[in-house]
Amino acid sequence: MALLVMSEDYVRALIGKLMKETRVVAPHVREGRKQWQFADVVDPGRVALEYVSTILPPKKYAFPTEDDLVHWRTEEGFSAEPVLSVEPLVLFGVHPCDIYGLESLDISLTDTYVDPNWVARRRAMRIVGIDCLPDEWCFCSSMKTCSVSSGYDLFLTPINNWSEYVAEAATGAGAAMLAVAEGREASSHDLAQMRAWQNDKLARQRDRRINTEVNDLPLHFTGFADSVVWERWSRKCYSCGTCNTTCPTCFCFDVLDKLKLSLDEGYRSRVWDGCMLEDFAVVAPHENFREERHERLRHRFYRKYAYLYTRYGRPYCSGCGRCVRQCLADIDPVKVINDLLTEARKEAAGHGL
Amino acid sequence: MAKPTAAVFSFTGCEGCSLAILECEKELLDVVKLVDFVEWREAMSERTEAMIDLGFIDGAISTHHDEKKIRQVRERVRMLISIGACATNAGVNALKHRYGLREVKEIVYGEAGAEFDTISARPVHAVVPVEFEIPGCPIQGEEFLRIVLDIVQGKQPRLPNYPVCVECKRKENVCVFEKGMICMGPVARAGCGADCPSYGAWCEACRGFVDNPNDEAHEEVLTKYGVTSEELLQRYDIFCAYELEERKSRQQGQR
Repeated sequence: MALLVMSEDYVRALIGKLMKETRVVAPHVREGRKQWQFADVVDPGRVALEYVSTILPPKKYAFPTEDDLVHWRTEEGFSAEPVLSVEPLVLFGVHPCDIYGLESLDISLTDTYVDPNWVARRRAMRIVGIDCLPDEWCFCSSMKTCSVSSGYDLFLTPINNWSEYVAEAATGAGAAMLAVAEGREASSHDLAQMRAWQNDKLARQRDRRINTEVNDLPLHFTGFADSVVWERWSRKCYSCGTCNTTCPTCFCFDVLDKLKLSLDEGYRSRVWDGCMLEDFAVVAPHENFREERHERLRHRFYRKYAYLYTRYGRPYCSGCGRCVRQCLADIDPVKVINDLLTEARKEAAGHGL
Repeated sequence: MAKPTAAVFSFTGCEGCSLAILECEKELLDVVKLVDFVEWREAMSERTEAMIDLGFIDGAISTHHDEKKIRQVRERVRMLISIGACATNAGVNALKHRYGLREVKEIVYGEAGAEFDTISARPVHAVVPVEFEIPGCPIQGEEFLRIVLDIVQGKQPRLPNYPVCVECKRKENVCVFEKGMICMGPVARAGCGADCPSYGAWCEACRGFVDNPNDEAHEEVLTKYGVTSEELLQRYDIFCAYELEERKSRQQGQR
């Protein structure tokens, strides 16, 4: 495993070198506030290396909010061609939770049907991860996503109070980046600091945890579809779908036809959808099988912590905290899960267990 | 199939929605290949006595004259479509309902006010049946074109039934609440691309509410952000005064 200790200046110099070859996207401060957004790097000096969370997760580069899938025309007979624009891309500065999110979508978007747009764009993508410290909304320690062992080409761990980074290459592409980077050899003291970083991350979330082990969640969710918890939390819920829109593991979409006014040409496109939105489950003839707010809230939690967990062996939640950070009503998965566990215990006590 | 005929009729309002159609400059030549405009005060001098297939209405019904005219228009139009906040939910015209009609006339026109004919502002659907409504202040050209295309193809046009937050988050805007302002986005109907929050303003719900807004949640959130109930009502009132009256009378009817 190749390791290199880089100063902040050297990290920014590396971004500059990568930009000469490839499009590079990285977190930037949004509207001068403590909020960030992945965007094209114009000046490596403006990349936010120390940040908490972007408003949208980086999945938008492989699964854009709106994506044309098919272009059709009737000039000279009917013809339809797939639409796919792919370009090599370096995603620079991705946190472990978001790497987990991308890997989760790699699984679900290639499961029964291999999503060609996702796969082509992911193949053209190089990932440079970077470590972070949690804010009051992160709960990666509960989801066991504070660190990842795959899903990146290069990973940077800050040391010496963010003045230097230990860069670790995990792939040939990552090693090639290290080969053009400047830095010094890692000492045993640097490696000790890397380990200390992980411990610090966990320690900072000591008071913000789900009261169970993550792999027990599918079990705990079993039999609680009628729990009062869903109704209780849904009273606060706008059904605005902000939790869906900002989620790194949500992948539902709607398909629309965009016809040109000339009537002889159009696109079939997909746009992000969200299971919290009122019309998500509307089917012909305008029947809605999740009409009530609490049914939709419950469904989202079951998807994240039970259905997809059982199917793919991992929670479809990275603990990134975007859903609650952006939720005006403060609907917090940690609190909802703990509320459910409390209700479960009450019920068990009622049965004399 | 013969090309459908279309007309635009304007009532009490700024006629900005009629203008919003004219502003689809790049597309207008394609639009007139789909429909024949036969009457449109803002765009042409011609008039017609014949039956019209598609009638677009902008403006609220706010005078006795409006009321008489909309009934006559309804008789001449096969498919009536309200466009814009005034026509779909009385828009800012309904702000006058905060006062008595006599008081309103006096505030606006002084002594001469007594001469003016004004009645409570109503959306078109409160006076005559309408087949579809396109909300917004003003309407979005792109949405108008999509709906015309749907109608020409015989498809049922649809409006988004989700809040502005969906489109706002897709644009990665910093939440209006985090900037120290308050916003109607979480209960307001999307379709505008969250234009106002994207340009640094807050959403005034000019497209009305989603089908089932969570008002209790919104009140709780606004209270958390220090908004008094009077300020709250003012936010709701700008574009949704009539919609709130309508909802109140519906709820009373259910009891």
